[in-house]
Amino acid sequence: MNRIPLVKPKDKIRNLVIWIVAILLFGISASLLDLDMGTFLSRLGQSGEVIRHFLTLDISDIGTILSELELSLSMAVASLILGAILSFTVACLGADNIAPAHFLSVGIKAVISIIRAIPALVWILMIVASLGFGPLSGVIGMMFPTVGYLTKSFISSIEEIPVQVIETMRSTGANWFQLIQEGILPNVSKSFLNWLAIRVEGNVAESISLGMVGAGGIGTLLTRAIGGYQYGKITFIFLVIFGTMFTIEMLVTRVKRAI
Amino acid sequence: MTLVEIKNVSKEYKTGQKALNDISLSINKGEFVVVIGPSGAGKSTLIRVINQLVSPSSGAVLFQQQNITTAKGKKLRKLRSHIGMIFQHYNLVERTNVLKNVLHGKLGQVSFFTSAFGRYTQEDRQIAMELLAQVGLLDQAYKRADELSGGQMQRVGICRALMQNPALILADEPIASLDPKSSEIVMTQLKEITESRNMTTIVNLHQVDIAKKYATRIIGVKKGEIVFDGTPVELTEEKIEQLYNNEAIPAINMENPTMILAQQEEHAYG
Amino acid sequence: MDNLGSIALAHQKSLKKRVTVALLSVIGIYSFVYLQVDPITPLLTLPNVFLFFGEIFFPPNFNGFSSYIALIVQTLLFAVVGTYISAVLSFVFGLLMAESINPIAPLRIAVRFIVSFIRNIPILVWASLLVYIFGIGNMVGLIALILATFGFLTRSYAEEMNNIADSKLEALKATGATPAQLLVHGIIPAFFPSWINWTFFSFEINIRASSILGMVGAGGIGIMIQTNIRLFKYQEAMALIIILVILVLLTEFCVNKLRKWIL
Repeated sequence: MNRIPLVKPKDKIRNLVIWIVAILLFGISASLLDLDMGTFLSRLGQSGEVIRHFLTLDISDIGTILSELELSLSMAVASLILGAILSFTVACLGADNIAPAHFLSVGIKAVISIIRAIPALVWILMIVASLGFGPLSGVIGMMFPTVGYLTKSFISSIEEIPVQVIETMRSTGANWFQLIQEGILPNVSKSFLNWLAIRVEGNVAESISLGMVGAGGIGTLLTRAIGGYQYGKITFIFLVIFGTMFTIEMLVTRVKRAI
Repeated sequence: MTLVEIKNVSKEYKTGQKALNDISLSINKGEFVVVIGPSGAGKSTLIRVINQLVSPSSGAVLFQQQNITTAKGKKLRKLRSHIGMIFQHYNLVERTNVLKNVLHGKLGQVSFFTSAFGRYTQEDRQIAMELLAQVGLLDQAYKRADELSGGQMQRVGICRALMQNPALILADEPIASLDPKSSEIVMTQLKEITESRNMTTIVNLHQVDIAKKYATRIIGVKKGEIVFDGTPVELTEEKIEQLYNNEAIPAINMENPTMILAQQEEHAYG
Repeated sequence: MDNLGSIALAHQKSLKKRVTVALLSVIGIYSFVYLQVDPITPLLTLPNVFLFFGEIFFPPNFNGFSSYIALIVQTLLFAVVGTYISAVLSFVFGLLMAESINPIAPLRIAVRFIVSFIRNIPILVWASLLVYIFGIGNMVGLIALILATFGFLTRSYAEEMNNIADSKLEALKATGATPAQLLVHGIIPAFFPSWINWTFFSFEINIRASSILGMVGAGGIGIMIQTNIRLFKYQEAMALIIILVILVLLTEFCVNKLRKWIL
């Protein structure tokens, strides 16, 4: 009786190669990274002390904290709305099934890729360097990553519309704007709202993070508190941030169900 | 010899839907039973309480004189390993090759280490290959399961069930997703296997003409109750109408759709 | 046919929808009012932005390039190691979090809470907290990086596993397989393509995250960019940013090719 293998030898080899490469990749990267395990472990031992300090709660500055939170949230919302409007326009020009010209589509996708490749924080740094501090810079700064993400998402939704729908509309003699209004909007509104919902949480998180590099908002308060070793305050701000993000997550789910 | 005994089984789902209503049934060794009835009548539930994929709200099911309804853990798995099952959507593991899918039939009978590290015995592999040869799929043995057609996948499903060397085969709408030719192949194969290996088979179908062609015994289920239990000969047109009552009488053979429509209208307007 | 009932239901739903839209609009308008920024100004300012931007950030200055290479490599390494560890950890926790796989409710809920807690804190906040407690170091940066993707990966994995478990496993259960066998032969093979997709996706996220974690002291390109900008060395910063962009785009390209080959 011949030995019966469970997989063809060629496939077995291919699988083996993939595994070996994967493990090697990890091993080499990890060793090259020069992780200071020793130092870390010793600090881990000491960390218990530090963490105990955090078990206090200092709510004295609640007024400032809440107003800074309001600032962060407003920046997030404003940049999201503006970003959404801009993204929609650009997406209609960039989706290859409805773009007025092919080079537009290619160009827009390339530019969007570049915009997305730059992290939000770097955008903020650049915009603040160009325009100075202030909520306007915060809003404009956040518009870039927002537009980057939303445009790509919108374009992918538009390109998923079946060819027949667009052909039908074109054959009735509809012009470009009518095509968008009657043909695109109804088909993609649901997925657009989904993308927006995802982005709400993203923008709020970014807004908070931006504060940490100086664009104002609750993040700035946190950095200040950390710099001042104010344990109780740090804990409080931390919890406020968690509460906010968590609430927003809940709200977004609710709103999605209602719409 | 009684292989399966269903005693006063009722099943009510959480949604309030009453799928089975105090059903009692006895199935003997060697029978080729076909269960028919309108959609939602409870056929799927009935089949699934036999191997406990669905748990009855009340009543008990005995398989090989053992209570499978109260069986748990190892005992349940052992009983299940004697029951092979075939599904409407084949339920193969798509990215795994055909041979391994067939060998999945052995899962209830081998240890974890054997199956996880692919240490199935050569005998088992030989049996799997022979089963595939019998259904004409030997040359597909190393293909990924999702590269096969619907009919081919179902035949792999049959091999998997046979790999268990079961005493009973359950088939839940095995041909519902297949074209007429593949359906015929699958049903013929099921019938042949039942007869040649002296097994027992219970099949769910909604095609009445196929039921009449292959079954030794037909059970008609309507609204969770058994309304017919007899031989194909005893299943008259009148009884079929009573069973389906106002619904189109489903048949694979659509030679006379106008007649079926006429019958529907007759029932609708009295 | 409960026509009246379904009409009433549709009416209720449409009312709810309108109220929600109204509320959202109010929130939107309020934000602009609060910021004392009107919607048009940012759009009008954009051309100015480009002008200022072009003036101070260009032409980029690549003088320090040789020293940048080490940073680039480090960013990559962080991303690779972080992705691996995150993918494995998330897999384990995903299993624990999936309803159809883990029958122990208290354990599930505990895991869900931990994951939600981690996910709902922006990673920069985590990073600065960790640096505060443990000091600056590669290990700290790595942990922050893992935390960045652990949250959403675990949740995505769990959702996918639930989908698989609900539909595909009936057949294997019917053969009498043990839960362990179900996992190895049923769930893992079906889960594999999603796992690869999500892992590659998180790698792209990790490249970006790895570069900015430097800003709170966890190493990588980000700290150089921030330092240069703080020191008004804009053109050097631009060089770094361009390098970062090329890095990200290159990895996206390679990852896509790899993805097609493996799946």
